[in-house]
Amino acid sequence: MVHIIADHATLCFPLLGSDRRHVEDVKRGAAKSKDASVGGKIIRDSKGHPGVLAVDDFNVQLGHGDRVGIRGRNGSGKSTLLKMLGGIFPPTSGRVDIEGRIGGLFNLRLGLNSEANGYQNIILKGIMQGMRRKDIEALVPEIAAFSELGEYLELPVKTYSSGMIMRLLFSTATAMKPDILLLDEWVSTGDKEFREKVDAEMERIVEKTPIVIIASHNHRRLDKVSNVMITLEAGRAQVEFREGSSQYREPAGGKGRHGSNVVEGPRRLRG
Amino acid sequence: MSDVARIGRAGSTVLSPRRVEFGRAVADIAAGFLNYRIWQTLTWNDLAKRYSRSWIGLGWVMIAFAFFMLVKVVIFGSLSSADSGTFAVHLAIGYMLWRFISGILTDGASTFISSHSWIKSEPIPLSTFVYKVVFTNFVLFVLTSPAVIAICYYFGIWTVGGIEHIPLALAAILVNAVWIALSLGIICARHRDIMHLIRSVMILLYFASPILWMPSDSPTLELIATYNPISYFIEILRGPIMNGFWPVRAWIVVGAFTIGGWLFALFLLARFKNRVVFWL
Repeated sequence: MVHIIADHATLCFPLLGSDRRHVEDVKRGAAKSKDASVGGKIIRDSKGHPGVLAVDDFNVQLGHGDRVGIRGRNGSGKSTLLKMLGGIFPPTSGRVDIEGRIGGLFNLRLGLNSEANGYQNIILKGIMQGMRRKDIEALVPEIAAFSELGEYLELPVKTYSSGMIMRLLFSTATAMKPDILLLDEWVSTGDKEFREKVDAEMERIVEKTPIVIIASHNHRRLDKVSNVMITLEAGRAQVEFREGSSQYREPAGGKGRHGSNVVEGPRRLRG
Repeated sequence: MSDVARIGRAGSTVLSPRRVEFGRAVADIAAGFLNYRIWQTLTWNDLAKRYSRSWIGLGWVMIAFAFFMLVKVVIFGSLSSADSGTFAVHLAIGYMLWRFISGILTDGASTFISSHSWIKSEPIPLSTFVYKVVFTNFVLFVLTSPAVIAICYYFGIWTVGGIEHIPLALAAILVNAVWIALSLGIICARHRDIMHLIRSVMILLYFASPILWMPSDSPTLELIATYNPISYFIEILRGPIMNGFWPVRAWIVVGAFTIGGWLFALFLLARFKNRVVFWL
């Protein structure tokens, strides 16, 4: 069963090697520079090693049908939380348990071989997702049709415009059909016609994928799609389960106005 | 769920922080190996990029090696006390292996550093990138072998009794290459100075290995060869081909390195598997 469980998951980026000297600068400069209104807290762990606390004691249980929105200011930990829930960043304390095949629509250009042609790049992308060649080959007609690149698929990708590359990458990435889809901001790509098509396709994917997690600044669009809303502030999260989400419990006194339960944010820990 | 889902990156992943977990390390080593489609593809892509738009392509590996061999045999052969055939074969096999060993040491140091964008965007087992480093260097190794075989054949130094040892020696060298690239990858991701140190001592290691010289040339050289582990890795392949007998002492040293090295690498992976991504 597809799920993601985070249990007191905390993520602190260590500052290493010669980077550490900057921490001393931060301490010394404290009088000069104002406290940041963005970013995670700069802390020291039990051994005194400095680090940036990006996600602070996060708890959640996600299951089939959850459409998770993550919002917050710059540096509040959206991307880090997204990558932690996607199994890319392990928590530095606590636990994250993930079941299901993960697909991310970020860093689409990764592994693109500009010397190879469009078809070869489709195969390449698929193999890098752990697929078998024949399974990807079966997806090629669908990808080719969606991208509308036609005969260009025979040419090396270096002859493509950046919009054409995005068409190829988006069409390929969305054809893979993961169980858990991670989105760092909405994908918006291509010319006007293709963008409309992408938007429609995104809606269809968000609808069909078991768990979707989207980090975004577009609150209106996030609000429309999500049934679980995570609001981050300097690494601390408030999780709200709305109607239709796996953890939603109907309040005893009938439905609230918005039909949602707010889960207590984590206690503030360690100064 | 399709088969796709079961390969490598799928299934249940429980991520928890610092703790020495040997089970997870072994699982990573196995899952990474089963990702052979991924590391093979990374290797071919890497090589294709290196030789892009060239007509001869990977053939250059062969040409450059053959050219270099020729020059070395002529110059250093005249300095050596051994007869020219023995020296040429000694040098050819030694140098072919040296290229592999130095590739593993230098590429191994940046195993994870050079794959940082993958590691930071996809949940792929770390060892996948270790196999990529080993496989890439093995492909280059195989490409240099025709020149070496030609040299052995030309000088008639080809002991039939030695041939059966070749697969075993290659297997031992590959198995060791994996733990070396894995440990160096982890250590150098955390301590970047070690990566630069390795790069700067490569030339020193080259001269300290019995490639351009023979241990029998002088007592000093014999002493250097005894204390340089690289000489044993060269010996397990070169010894049987040149002398036709099994180099027992070299195999004992290589065996000890294999066991000790793998335990060391597994410990590093078990301890730091979940930390590496933060070091990149």
